[in-house]
Order: sequence, then structure tokens, then C-alpha cells
Amino acid sequence: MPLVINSESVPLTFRSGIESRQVAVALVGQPNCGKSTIFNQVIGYRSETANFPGSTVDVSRGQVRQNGSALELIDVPGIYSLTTSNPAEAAAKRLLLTAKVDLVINVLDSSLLSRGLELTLELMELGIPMLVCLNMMDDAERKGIAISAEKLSERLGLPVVKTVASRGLGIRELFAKVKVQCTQPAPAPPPWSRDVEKAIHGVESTLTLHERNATLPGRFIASKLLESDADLAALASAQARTAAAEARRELEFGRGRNAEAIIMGERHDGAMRIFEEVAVVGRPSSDVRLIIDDLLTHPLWGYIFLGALFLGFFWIVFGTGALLERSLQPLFAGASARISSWLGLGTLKEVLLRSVWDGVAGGATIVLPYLVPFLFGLAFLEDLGYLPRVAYLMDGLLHRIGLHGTSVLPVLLGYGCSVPACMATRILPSKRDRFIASVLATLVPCSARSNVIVALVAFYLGPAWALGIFAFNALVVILSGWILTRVWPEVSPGMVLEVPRYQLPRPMAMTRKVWFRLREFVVLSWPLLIAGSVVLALAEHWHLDRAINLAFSPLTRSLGLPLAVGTTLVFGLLRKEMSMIMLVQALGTTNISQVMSAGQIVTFTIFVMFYVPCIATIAALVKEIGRKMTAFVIGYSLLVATTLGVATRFMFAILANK
Amino acid sequence: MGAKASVTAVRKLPPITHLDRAPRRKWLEVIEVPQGRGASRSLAHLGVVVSERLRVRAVAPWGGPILVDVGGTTVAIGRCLASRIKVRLVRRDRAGDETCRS
Repeated sequence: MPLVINSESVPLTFRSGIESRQVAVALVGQPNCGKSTIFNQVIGYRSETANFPGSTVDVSRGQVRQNGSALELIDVPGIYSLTTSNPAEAAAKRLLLTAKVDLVINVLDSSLLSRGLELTLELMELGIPMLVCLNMMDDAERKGIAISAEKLSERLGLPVVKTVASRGLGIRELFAKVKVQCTQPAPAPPPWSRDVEKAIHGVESTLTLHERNATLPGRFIASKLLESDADLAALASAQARTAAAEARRELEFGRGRNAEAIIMGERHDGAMRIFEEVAVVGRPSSDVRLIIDDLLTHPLWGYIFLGALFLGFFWIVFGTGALLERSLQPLFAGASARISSWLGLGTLKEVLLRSVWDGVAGGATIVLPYLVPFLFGLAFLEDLGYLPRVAYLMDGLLHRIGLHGTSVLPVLLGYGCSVPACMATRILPSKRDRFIASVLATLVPCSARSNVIVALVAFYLGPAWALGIFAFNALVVILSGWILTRVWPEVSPGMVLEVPRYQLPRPMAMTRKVWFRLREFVVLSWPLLIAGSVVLALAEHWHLDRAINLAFSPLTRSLGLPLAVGTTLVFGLLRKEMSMIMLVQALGTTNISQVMSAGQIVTFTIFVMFYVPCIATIAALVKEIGRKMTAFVIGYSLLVATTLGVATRFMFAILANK
Repeated sequence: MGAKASVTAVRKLPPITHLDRAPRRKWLEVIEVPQGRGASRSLAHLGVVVSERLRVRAVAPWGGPILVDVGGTTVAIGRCLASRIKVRLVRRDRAGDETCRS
């Protein structure tokens, strides 16, 4: 019976010869050790990087040419071991066990060498050709750790290259060894204690001939069966499973601990021994980051700083955006007026050209001025390593509503974009936590919705109103979490989250990340926005918009909004910022406050902030939580948006009558 | 007299406590971790294993997580989980503990 890992067939034959196809090289290592940074150094910025564990949740691939031959470079999500506990790690395991990899570049954070070596020893059990990359050597030196690459290479029987990927150091030397090394199978790892070795041999001897000739070495299969690895246990023969259970009982009786803990302990001790042989720990250089961290995680100052940071972030985004918007808008509006007078107001040509220009102007004057500073700010916080601290600070509060620690991270990422936020839920082990975190991440205002809040509410009503809306949103998110965790009660394993060291963000890396994210708007959304502007203008020209507005009139009437707003909500499904820009188009003015009251502006913003996620997010949700649950998210968000929108309308009406 | 001496001896033993009640900035040795597969695996992956030494750096308010320095890195452990980890105060630091072991 062939091994099947998560529905993908793993042929139980040795890997095919590398001459017949492109060489596949996988970057494998523990989370946050710099795999994606190496990948981006070689391929160009294609894989999102950030200073927190779990920033890569999917496999990324890229082609690279070296010495005339092409190789496929694969960026694999970080794993602590090959016994996985969440979908992101499962994707990495699936890739490694399906034998499509000719060489593993095992990337280690040199400043956490002994912990990283535990995975190295496990990877060696796979027998795949390997190369060891000691990354972040600068951090190790700062911590006073001197590592002898020669001794480590000798001890492991593998080539070892030192790198500082963030500065591009050592990358060329690393890839120079790829071609030679991918023909050399990795040597067997050092043996474990006698009783564990005996148990492994016992299980290995029961594997059938078919299993023994597998791509996966018999020793690896046996050790994983002893560790009760669910994937391999489900696929092994009944005989092997029985033998593993017997060996496990014997081992546990002798050691008084569960077999998984015993084997992990063996790897831990083995890694420690190697570390002590190859590294010397001296006195670390004084690190101001520790003092800063004590302040930022302080039970009082930590929260004061968090609040100040949020306010500062908002003021910078709003200040820069409003300044740019005010200076750019007259230029574009002037050009639009010239187009109208040149082609004659109301002619088809004028409608077409002006609508194209209005689409261009909408992107340039309403979206980009706020989006660019927002993305830079977010990239700065991500690269700095502050987000896990936010998760640490917020965990206690969120725990009270039934949400658990690590769930905070995807929700925080939702402030950037809901799509990666939904994907980031893969770092959560529980299906229920993944679902709740996905729902909450879609309720958090992404950069597009923040754009609407800032460009509409802050611009026309004042920054305090916009801050109030952000605070109100947080309240709704917390309340939704409280409700959902009571509808789906479950005991969660609780927070276990690595909090990385602060890293000073590099301007070039931040710029590349911002462009990577901005490109989606420029390449996909902006043309869509221009096309939407043309469609809306033509619909208005031929009075077709009336039918759409009429269809939406029950909703717009309940919300107390102008009927023309109906069409803008349809465009908002494509991209959230389009509802704002289309509003300008639909109302026929760039000065919204002339045609909408303060109550209408706030009602519109609250509705747009919560109603149905954009199409890209819906697609991501279907992939992550399935169709049924996505339908629930759509229904729930529509219910929340309508209820809160109507409530806002009446609240403003009551206040106006007083 | 003899009983008094034995009481003194018991008092001198390094006290065992749970991680959520452990003093800050003191070196501690892990003597027991929860047996559940998920929790113990997550902890082991980050270096929180029996006989490993760690230090509580900060405790978040409102029942929030405990921030511990372990194996050269910092890990946030939920309060409930921390209450299931038994630790013992270590009287004298092992070589290397004062600086940082990787």
C-alpha cells in the first residue's frame, strides 16, 4: 500500500534520477530563521517576510539559473519537527515526504543553534541530500556565540555555510555547493540511547518489504510510529502498528514518560551535545533591545506604549494622506473639468474619457495617499518584531472572551489585508480557533476599509470621529469573538508563542514588501477601479443605474442613505476602497459633505466596514474554512453591517432631534 | 531536636512551584511539563523540556501569558498552561546560564 499523506500519494520508491528533470531545492528550517529572506535574495521578492514565527504559511516556488542549469527553489513554511500540529507545518511535511525534493537546504538561526539542530537531526533521518546554512551569524556573534562551521560540518557529515541573509552575505557560497551536494545522500544521524535504538530496530524489522524499500527510510518510519505520528500510523501495516504499540509500552514503562517525549528528548540531548562540541558561548555584547523589551512588555508601560503607538500610527497615516489628498485633488479635478469643457458636457466621448480620468484620479488622490504610509507603517511593525508583543499584551484581555493567544496574530494581520490574515490562521492547531480567527480577521478593517474610514470620516468629520470608529470596530470584534466562542465552546491548548528579538527594519526590505503588497492594487485593483468608473458613468449616462439603485433601495432606505449609494456597494464587493471612490462618482462630487450629512457618512462607513468581505477574501475563506463556513461569514457580516448601520442611522436621528 | 533538624533540612530544599507563581528573574529548572500531546509538543519545540532552565521575564496582567527566557529565546506561555508546568528554583546558576545559552 503506498503511503498517502493528506491525500497526496507518496510513491514508495526511491527518488527518480535528478538528470531527468529540474533540480528541486527546498529551504527548510524552524520558523523565523530567515528561509524566506534567502528565497527573496535569490528569486526576488515573492515570499512575504516578517519578524515573527509563521509569517510563511504556504509553499512558494521560484526558478533560478546557476552555472547554466536551472533549479527550482522552494520556500517551505517553518517547522519545529516533522510531527506537525497545524496546517502550515503539514504543508511543509507533505512536501518533504512526497519525495519531490532533491536537496534540502536546512536553514538555522545561528543564535538558536542547539534548538535548530534538533530539526537538523530529524531531517537527516529522511536521507535526502542536505546542506546546512548557518544564518543570522551576526545575531549569534552579538549573543557571544562563536560557532566553528568546520567542526559542525565534520560532526554532521554535511557541508555548512555561514550566512547573513538580510545583508546577502554568504548566499553565493551557499548556492555554489548546491549542484555537488544534491548527489550526496545525507548520512545517518548519530545513534540514540540503547533502549530507544532497540525499540526502533524492533519496529523497523516488522515493516514489510514494500515499506522498507520506500522513499522514506525504514528507520524514519519506525521512529515516527513510535512517536504516534498520525499520518504515518494511518498508513503503516497493522503488523507495524502493533509492533510500534508494543515497543512504545515497553519504552514508556522503562522511562516513565510518553514515547514522543522520550524521542524528542533524545533529539534535544543529541543537539545539545553537538552544540557544546562546536560552539563556545562567551559574554554577549550589551543589548539595548532587552531593556526596550522590558519596557514594551511592562504591565503598565507596555499598554501605554501600545496605545500611543496606535494613535501615532493613525496620525501619521492620516496626516500624510490628508496632506497629499488636499494637494493632489485640485490638480486632478482641474484636469477633469478641462476634459468636460473640451469634449462637451454630457456627450458619450466626454462621459467615457472623464470616467477613465476619474478612475485614475480616485486611485491617485484617495487610495494611494493613505495606503502607502499605512503599508510602510505595517511593514515597519512586522519587521521590527512588535506584533508578537501585541499578541502577548492582548492575550489576557482576549482570553476573557474565550479567544486564545496565538489567534491574535492573524486578527492583527487583518489590519493589513484580510487575505493573508485568513491564510495566517493556518498557524493555529485547532479547527475551531482557525474558523473564529478567520471570522474576526474579516471584521477587522483592512487597509482598504481603513482607507474609507480615514479618507471619508477623518477627512470630512475629523480624526476623532475616525478613531471612534476604529474603537467601535474593536468592540464589535471582541463581542463577535465572545458570541462565537460561546456558540462553539472548546478547550483551547492555550498560548505558546515564540517572541522574536527586535530587528531594525531595513528600508530596502520594507520598500520591497510595500511594493509587493501595493502591486496588487496597482496591477489589479486600479484597472478594475477605472473599469468600474467607466461602467458606472455609462450606466448613469444611459440611466441604467436606476435599476441597480432601485434593487438596493430597501437597504439604502433602511440605512437612510441616498439611493445613488446602491451601485457603490456592488463595487465594494470587488475591492472595499471602490465603494468610497464610486461614491464620489455616484454622487457626482468630490465634496461628499455637501450631499451627505454626518450621520449618513458614519452610517455608510460602518456598513462598508462590516458588510460582506471582498471577492479575494471570500476565495481565501473558501480555501481555508470551506464553503459552508464562508457562507456563514458572509451572512454574519451582512447581519452585523445592516444591524449596526440601521442603529447608527437612528442614533444620529435621535441626537439631531434633541 | 532531631525533628527540628529535619524540618530545617526540608526548608532548605529548593522550593517547587508552578511556573505561573514563580518569582521573576530567578533561574528555574523545569521538573514537570503537562503530559497532553499538543501542549507538551509545543513546549518541547521551543525548548521547554524537563531539566531545562528558564527565567520568568514578565507576567501580563488580567491573567495574560508569562514571558520566559529559555534556550536563548523568549517564549510567551498562556497562564493556564504555565500553571501546569512545575519548576524548581535553582540556587546556583549553571555555567553559561548567566550569559545565554543557545
